Amino acid sequence: MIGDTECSREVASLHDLSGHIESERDRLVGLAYLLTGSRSDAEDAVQAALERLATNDLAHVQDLASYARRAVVNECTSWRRSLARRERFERSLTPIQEHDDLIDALDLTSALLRLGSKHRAVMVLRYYLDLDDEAIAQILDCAPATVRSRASRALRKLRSDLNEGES
Amino acid sequence: MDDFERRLASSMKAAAEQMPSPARPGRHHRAGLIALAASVVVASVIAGITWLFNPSDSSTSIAGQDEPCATLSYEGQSFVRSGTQQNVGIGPLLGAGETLGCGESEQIQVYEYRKVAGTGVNPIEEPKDDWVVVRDTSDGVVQFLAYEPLTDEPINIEGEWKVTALTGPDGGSLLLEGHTPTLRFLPTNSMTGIEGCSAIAAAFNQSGATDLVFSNIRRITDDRAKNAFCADPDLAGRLGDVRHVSETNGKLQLHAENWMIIAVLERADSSDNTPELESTEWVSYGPRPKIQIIQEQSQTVQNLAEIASVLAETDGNEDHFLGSYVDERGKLIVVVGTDQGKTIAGNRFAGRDEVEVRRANATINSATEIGLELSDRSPTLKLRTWGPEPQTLGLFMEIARPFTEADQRMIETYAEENRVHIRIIVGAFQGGSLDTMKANGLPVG
Repeated sequence: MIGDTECSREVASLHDLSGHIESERDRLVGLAYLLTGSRSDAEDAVQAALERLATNDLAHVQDLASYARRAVVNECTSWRRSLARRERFERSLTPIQEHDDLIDALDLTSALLRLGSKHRAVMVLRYYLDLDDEAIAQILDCAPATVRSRASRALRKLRSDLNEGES
Repeated sequence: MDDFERRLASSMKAAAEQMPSPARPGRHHRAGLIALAASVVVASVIAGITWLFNPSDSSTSIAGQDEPCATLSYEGQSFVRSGTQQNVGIGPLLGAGETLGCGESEQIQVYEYRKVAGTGVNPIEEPKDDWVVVRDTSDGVVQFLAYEPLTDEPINIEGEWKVTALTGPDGGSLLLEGHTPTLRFLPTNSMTGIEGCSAIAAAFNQSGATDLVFSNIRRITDDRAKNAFCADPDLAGRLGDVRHVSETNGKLQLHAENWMIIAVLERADSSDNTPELESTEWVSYGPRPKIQIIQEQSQTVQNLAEIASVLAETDGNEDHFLGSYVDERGKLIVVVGTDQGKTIAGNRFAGRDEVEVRRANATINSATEIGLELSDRSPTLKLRTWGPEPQTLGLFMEIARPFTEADQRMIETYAEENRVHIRIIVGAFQGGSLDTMKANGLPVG
């Protein structure tokens, strides 16, 4: 895991950093994909985030995993701000395999996109990475209470957009 | 977790697992960065005058414009004190754009241009006082600008500057889109600046005509001021590599030991100030507030400011404190965001006439929430919430140009609907919160 504190202190370059986070890379790309809606943008965003991390002094970083996720979320937020990318995303959406228990990917990702960036980040960090509110708060640099309020609002909107009744 | 949330989690994981293949390979370079003025240097000396290659008025380009170099620009000017021959001579070529993902052909083109020009091309007309045009072998027209001879007088760098280009050690751009870092050089040989989210400070020393060295460089990041749209280019790190400064056409170039350009600075323009916009009942527009320099205050006020900064720093997520600043009367204004914060500050500074505790209408978190809400309503709006506005204690935010009429209407509608007072300054982002700068001894305003 990349959350190893001792390891994080040794990271000094992109090459080293990439080695440490290789096992997490797919999940970071998945995180970025759900935030940007585009695989290529997601990979670019992760790469850009890692490059940026590699230029930072990481000696003070206690939890590199959380730090990397935060960098990716920030990168994706700025990426998402490009209308062109959003339009490209909407064109590139392809439905995933049908599954009774699953929400249609097109519906899901479209609904996620309609959320505000912070609310979407909370949703993805909570339900894709299974992080608790404390960890999400650390990544998003806000209070756990803020995470809970955002999650509540985002869930309400997702239920509404996906035609799910309040439960 | 209810059934919907479980389905949401499963669906997200499935969507991520089955995400479509990329339509194109990842670029694996500095995506999203403004490309930049790599420090290609072409200089010459004719009749004892140093000439600078001026790409913007030359028909011959140095770099190709094909992907992935389309965003490359070689317009960053520099100079090299080189050559004494009568014909045009080209100085050392620095910072070829190989590290920004450009292909070999672009580098070769740069090299060949240098080679051609270096062999001696003649002016096609008599050199003017400040420019000369020459023709290169491909019949392109190349213009050189005169560079004033160096003197031993140090270049006047005092004042506020915008950082319009910033290169990494590899020549690639470090600037982030939408962010213009600023630097302010004070007569006291101290420098303060704003990277993006973080404030920076340093001492500097000028010697001779062009030597400039920064020391004791510090970066002060206000975590509470950070949000997802906020990032820092490594300006502080690169200032440590600066050894020289030069001036061309009113712009400053900060150079490394080998004269490679690290940064290009332009005088901060008064047009960055908030334009005359008509205020509404809920939204007002105005200039950046004038805040007093903390080092110029009495030792007592400085000590009290230190206490206030500790209160704010230890506040954590409680959101009681927003920070402090010294107003034009020399009073330390401690701004709190909650009634409990007001009680704490009131007790802590009881009997201190130098301190005034003010209760803001917005906490940092609520201000950030509103800022995010506004950001989500407009894809073009770039803003930074500063917490309370010092005079009215309403929400205070800075909005990057361009500030469109649509965004203006959107914010005014939001403020009216939600009955939130908002004060806005429009301009290049100037960085983190005032209180953090003040708390760290940075002169602001």
